[in-house]
Amino acid sequence: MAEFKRPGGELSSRPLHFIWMVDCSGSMRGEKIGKVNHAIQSTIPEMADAAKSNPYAELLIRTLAFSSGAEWVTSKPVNVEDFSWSDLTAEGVTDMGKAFDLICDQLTIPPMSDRALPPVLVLISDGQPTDDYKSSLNRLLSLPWGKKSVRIAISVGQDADDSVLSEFTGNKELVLQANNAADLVKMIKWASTAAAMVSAPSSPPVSADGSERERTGGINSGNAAPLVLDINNIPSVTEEENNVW
Amino acid sequence: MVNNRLYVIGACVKGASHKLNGKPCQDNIKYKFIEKDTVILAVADGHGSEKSPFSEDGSKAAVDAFHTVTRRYINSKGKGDSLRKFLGSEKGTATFAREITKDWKQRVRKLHRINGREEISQKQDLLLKYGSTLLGLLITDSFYFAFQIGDGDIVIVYDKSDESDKNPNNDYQAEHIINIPKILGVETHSLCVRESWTTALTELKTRPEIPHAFMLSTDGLSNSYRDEKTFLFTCRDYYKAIINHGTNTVWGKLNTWLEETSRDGSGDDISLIIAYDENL
Repeated sequence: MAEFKRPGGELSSRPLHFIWMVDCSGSMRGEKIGKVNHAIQSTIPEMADAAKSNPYAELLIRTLAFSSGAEWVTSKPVNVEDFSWSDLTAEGVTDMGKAFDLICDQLTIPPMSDRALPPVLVLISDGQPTDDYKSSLNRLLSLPWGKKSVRIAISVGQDADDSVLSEFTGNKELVLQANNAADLVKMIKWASTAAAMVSAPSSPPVSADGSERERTGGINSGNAAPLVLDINNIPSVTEEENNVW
Repeated sequence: MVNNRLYVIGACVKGASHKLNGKPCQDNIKYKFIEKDTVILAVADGHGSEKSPFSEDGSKAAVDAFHTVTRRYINSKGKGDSLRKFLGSEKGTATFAREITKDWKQRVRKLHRINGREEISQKQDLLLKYGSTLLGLLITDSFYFAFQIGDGDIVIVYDKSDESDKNPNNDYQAEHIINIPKILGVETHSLCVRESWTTALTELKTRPEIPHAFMLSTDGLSNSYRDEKTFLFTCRDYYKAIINHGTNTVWGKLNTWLEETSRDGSGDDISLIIAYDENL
């Protein structure tokens, strides 16, 4: 009998969207934004390697910058193999709400697929939002993919509003403290490994009432994403009296 | 009543990602004819996370539970109107779902004991270690009954062409028997959670009197395609392959095709059972 090919349509791995949300307000000027640029740039090869070892998830990266307003630095999601970092500069205020609005537009279905893996959002900020962030954040957390997203925040310096960042993550333990340059680099590196954790093949159960079965501990605001992260290996902060932001 | 010539084929393959990282296949399938015109089919997908290290056993227990409980009801009610009324009623399906989950829990507790595994005092923690989904289908000569806890797909494909329809593209229709609300991401309903029977979804319908096929699959299959439309196209294409080449030929290739699907798609374990009624 003549050979005939596998029935069916085109095969596809599951998309995994990873988004850097970077505070580019004036207070991030200088060493802070410099370290952010350097740290994110340095994570790219490792993220690409991790993606190669799990070819069944298509890792797509984007960057969103916010200060006075918010904009996509990467206009469309880019495959990690093709992703390159463009250094960000810092100036202006902290329109975090506008950043959340842009994220909302991308987490609706479409353009998101209902077959995607949970998106990973990493918010890096050193200050307090200067716009009405709350309604935008509530909208984000009410979206189906907003609820399911894995949300990590990096709190840069001691002036950052950790309560806002906790609202974003839904879990205090996922607000990573970076009060100096070394810690900022460490936390950005850890956050970059979230993609590999999210894409590991497993199917955790939900409770019969639909609530997440697992929490990582810490304060659960009720918006916490189902955790597939291992928070036990979050780096510890450096105890430094000098040279803190 | 349909004039059956029912053929059933199935395959269960380890996911490409599991081959890479040395994990076992955590899917299981089981299909068995009770009589010439009555067959019970089941597929199950173990959770595979670190918290569910025995989910391979859990999925085996799941397909066994479906077969045992369904068989018990066939023995007590027959496979005619009495069973049909029972499985078509809200009370009946709730009772059925409770018995399935109870049977599964008894099996996994026994497995845990006889394998000498570490004692676990919290009942829910023990069950989580065996967590699994379950999709089941009972096909009789007059009706079919579908049962589902967790993700995966139960699809019916049928020939919808008729003499008046000259469009060669409108030949086959594929649709879900149970329209399960999609849980985004990687989570799923499971046999291991408290009150899991309340998450069971069921559907009972009369067998169509035209050629048709049923397809049960774990979510490794549908997750290998970009969207629902492509997945349902795939279901129709498998049906066409059976019509054009016969069940034996398709069965001979099924393992290879599913391995290829996992390799170039989701990477997950994939189970697929196809029950084809040529209805001559």
